[in-house]
Amino acid sequence: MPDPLIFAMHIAYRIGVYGIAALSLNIEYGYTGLSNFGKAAFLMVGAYTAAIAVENGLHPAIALLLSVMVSGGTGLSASLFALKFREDYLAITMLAFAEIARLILRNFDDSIRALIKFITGVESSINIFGGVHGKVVRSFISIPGDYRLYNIAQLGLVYGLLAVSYLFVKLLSDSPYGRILRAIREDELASQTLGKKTWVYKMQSISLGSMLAGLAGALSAQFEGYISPESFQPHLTFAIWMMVILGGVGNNLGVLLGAALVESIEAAALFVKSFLRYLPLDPVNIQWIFVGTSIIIIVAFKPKGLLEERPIKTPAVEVARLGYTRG
Amino acid sequence: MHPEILGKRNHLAVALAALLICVVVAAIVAGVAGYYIGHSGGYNTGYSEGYNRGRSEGLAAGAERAYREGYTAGYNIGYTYGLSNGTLNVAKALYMGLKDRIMREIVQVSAPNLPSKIKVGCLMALTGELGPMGVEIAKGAQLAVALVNRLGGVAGRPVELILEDTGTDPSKALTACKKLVEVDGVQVIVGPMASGEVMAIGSYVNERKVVLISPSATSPYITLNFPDDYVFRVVGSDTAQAKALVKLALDAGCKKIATLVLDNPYGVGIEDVVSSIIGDKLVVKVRYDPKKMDFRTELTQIKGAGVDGVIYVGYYEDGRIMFRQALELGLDNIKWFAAEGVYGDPMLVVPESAEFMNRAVVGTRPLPPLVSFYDEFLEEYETAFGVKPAAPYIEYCFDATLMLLEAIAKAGVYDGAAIKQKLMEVSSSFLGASGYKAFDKVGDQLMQIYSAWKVVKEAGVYKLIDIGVITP
Amino acid sequence: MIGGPRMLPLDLPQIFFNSIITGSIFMLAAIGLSLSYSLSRFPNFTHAEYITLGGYLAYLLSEQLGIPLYIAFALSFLGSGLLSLASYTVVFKPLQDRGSPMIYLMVASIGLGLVVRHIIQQVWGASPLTIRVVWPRWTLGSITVTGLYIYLIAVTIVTAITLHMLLTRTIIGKCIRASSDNVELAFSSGINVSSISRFVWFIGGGLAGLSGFFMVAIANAIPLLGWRLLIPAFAVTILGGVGNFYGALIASYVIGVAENFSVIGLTALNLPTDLKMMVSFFVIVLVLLVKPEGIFTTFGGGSRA
Repeated sequence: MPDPLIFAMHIAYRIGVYGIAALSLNIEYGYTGLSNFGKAAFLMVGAYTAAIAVENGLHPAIALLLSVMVSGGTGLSASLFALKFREDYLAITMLAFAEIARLILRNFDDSIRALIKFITGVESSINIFGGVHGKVVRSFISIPGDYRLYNIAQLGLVYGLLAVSYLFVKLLSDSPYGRILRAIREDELASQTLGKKTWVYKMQSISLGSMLAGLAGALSAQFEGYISPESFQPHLTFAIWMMVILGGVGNNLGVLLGAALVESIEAAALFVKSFLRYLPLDPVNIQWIFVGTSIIIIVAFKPKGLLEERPIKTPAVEVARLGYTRG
Repeated sequence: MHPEILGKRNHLAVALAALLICVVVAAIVAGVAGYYIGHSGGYNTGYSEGYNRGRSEGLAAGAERAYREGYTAGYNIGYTYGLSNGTLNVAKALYMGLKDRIMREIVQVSAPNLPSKIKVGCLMALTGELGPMGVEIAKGAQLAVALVNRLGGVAGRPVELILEDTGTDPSKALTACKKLVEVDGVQVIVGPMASGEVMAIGSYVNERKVVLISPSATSPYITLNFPDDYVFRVVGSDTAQAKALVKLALDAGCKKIATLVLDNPYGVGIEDVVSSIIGDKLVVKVRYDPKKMDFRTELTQIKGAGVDGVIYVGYYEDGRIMFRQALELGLDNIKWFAAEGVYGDPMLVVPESAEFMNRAVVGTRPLPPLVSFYDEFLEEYETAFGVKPAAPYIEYCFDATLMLLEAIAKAGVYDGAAIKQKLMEVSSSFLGASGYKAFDKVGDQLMQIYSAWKVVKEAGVYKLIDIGVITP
Repeated sequence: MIGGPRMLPLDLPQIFFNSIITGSIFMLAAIGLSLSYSLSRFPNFTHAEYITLGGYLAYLLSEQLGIPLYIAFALSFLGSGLLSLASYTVVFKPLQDRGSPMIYLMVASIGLGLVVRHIIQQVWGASPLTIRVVWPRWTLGSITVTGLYIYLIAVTIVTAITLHMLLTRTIIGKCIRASSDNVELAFSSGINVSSISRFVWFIGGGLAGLSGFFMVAIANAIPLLGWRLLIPAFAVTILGGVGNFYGALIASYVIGVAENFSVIGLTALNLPTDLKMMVSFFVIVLVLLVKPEGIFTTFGGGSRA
């Protein structure tokens, strides 16, 4: 029996996943000012790790943990770029890095088989990543018989993890650690002069961001049930950037709002068709023209996003403020 | 201390430390993963490979036997009719015209429990890489629905086709599918086109018991992943087509063969089968990205390899470019064998492409059988759209839609599970624009034969003609 | 070795010729990007759409309106140039004047690119479109040459010479070089950087349009036409040095050769050839890691890494 609630839950799930991804970018760009345009690659690493792990019989919790760790590790290696480059070069490099990773993953199995044939002459049938055919992914939760309950459970999982991620990022930001990250964003040289080893923080920032991104990728993979390299193109990275910039750079609730907005616009495009029936307009085009224009407007008039970054609340700041008014 | 001095010395240390951390982390992760994968992988791999192999061989043997029996039975009936009535047309008339069948099996059926409006969902790639093809293929479904409505509807009720765009994106296909099922309330879906999209929504339609027929997804992985369920296909798996292509090539005397395929499940699927059949005769394997639009170096490679045959898998847009560039580079003295993706009048629009095909290309496509209602379909299509069908698989989409409507009529209720049961029944006697559409137990086509085609030039005009049947 | 790499006889002349074709297209696409990047100091992702528009204009004019190809050629240049100029004047310059940071400009250019691309897609549809012109064909030794390739090479040579003359012999050229080198200094020397920028954006966009024109003539027009060339264009820009005309000139052909030769290596190893896209990406990453100012700093033209 048709159940519109299930469709709504599907959209809600996607918002949850994008929310985690947007939070991950918020750590990297919102706080630390690192322009990570390779976000899609970390989602991809998380997704594929989860898929392979579950395929080999690992428990979902371990699969999730592995996804987070592997994408975090990938982020750690990628963070080396962040140490050397200024923002635009970093952006382009991360973009290139992500595409290289994606192309490698896509052609990995064929390449390995070709190499094995080269070295040993044996025709092997190694198939880890599925190449262009993609992989069917088994979901983490299994509630046969009650599809609604299954979806509710999935939503519970993703929003639970979203809440944990949110708390984590909030703790991170409203703390001296967060202050340092922002300091690096504002003026790296000054931070270094103050004795902060900025490279350590930068690496940590990207690693943490990548861990969250991997989490998002894994959750998405097990819910949708199918992944392929085509889903992780730069288009995905741009979408996440739009969410962060629209919602509010440096504001956690803001980026979640951004995620909800962008995803809702995409879902709405499915329904707008019935209103546009008499106009020869394709809602897909309208949707992206709308998003593109919004971005330009936001960048022009409200670059901090819809919800601006709030001043940090750490105990030290509180004390200083009190001290100042008293004195 | 001056930041700069700190910086220089740090860099090396930084790099080394980071590298070490990476290596350690990677090693740990690799070790853990390797242990788990190796630990459970071996047995699992062996088991699943053995199971798959046994299953597919059993399926193939069963299918072959069924095909032979069906072929014999059909041949006998057809021969008898033809014999007793003298002409093929009369035989077709006795066998029920398409409209007659629709009237008898769909329109004039009594089904009091059906809703007042029959919805059919259609998931097609209308934008994205397969967009151009999807727009055309969707017309097959639109035509079928319009035809049935014109004749009276399903048990007298009007049919509504709800079309959603998948954007050639599996993720989007899933969202659109859920919208069709949960919001619009469809219980049957025609589409999607691409194998990846079908795999993305396979588990979902099985879960929600929604019947799905894809007119064009040919990947063997669909059978592997979704056996015995709600996912059906009216077109044969590409394993058969690959075998047909190889047969053509070997029969033509080719000793050194190259494959030139699209880098997607369609092309790669065929390449895999070709490779497993001809082994060392395959000297060059090239996969190309259709969006690249410039294939001269790939073609130069093939030329340089001294092959005498090329097995080619492409679509119209890249195919035209490929053939044009192949003509430029002088590859028309090699024999080309093309899969049905490049069969169609749009290929002849570019003069160099047509010329090249005329000189060097022989292709395969799913056999439009002698006895089918393709002519009726063609008539309807030209009346409705004013042009000849401009893409492959349109008639498959047409047939798929008709079968679904007939299954709904026979089921008497608008419910996926009931419709599925009736669908199997319907398929065993259904003869459509693309021939007999009997499903086997896993929802694939029971039999799929291929015909060979080529391009000829008559009075300065290029035409596609069929030149024979390839028996598997 | 069993199943090993196949040493296929190489048709070197043909491959080199292919590389020249590829390199010429890259050059036309990349010059505008490199110059605008150095003048306005942000990587402009809308550049892809200047290429795409040029291609679609070529289709519109020659297929739909039946205008002869060389006029379509000029109009492609104009159309894309105007689009580029408009995007600078209406979007990027105002943002710059507001003090938008580089990344925001970049993101805005991605947004603008989305808008333009989807407008194009709305007007012409997403289906690939082909120009049906038949070119004369000749064979020189083992190389096949068509009239179109001669046209392309001629245009590239003329462009290169014209730009060289422009940059060295004219005042505008000197201003461009000065601004490219050090914008603040140029500004305080009295150079009207805004006018120079407008000029550069127009010319750069126009050239991009020409590269689209040729791409469509060689292959076909799809909405993502520009993106196919954008990545190599970035690779060329970075390899040659941002803002370095001569560097870009040489880099285009280097990358053209690299891409074509990588196909040889890939097919020899039985690997899929769309991995050749990786060449551009690798170039970008390696150059930025090793020598961010670009390999060709000896040729003057500036950049501030």
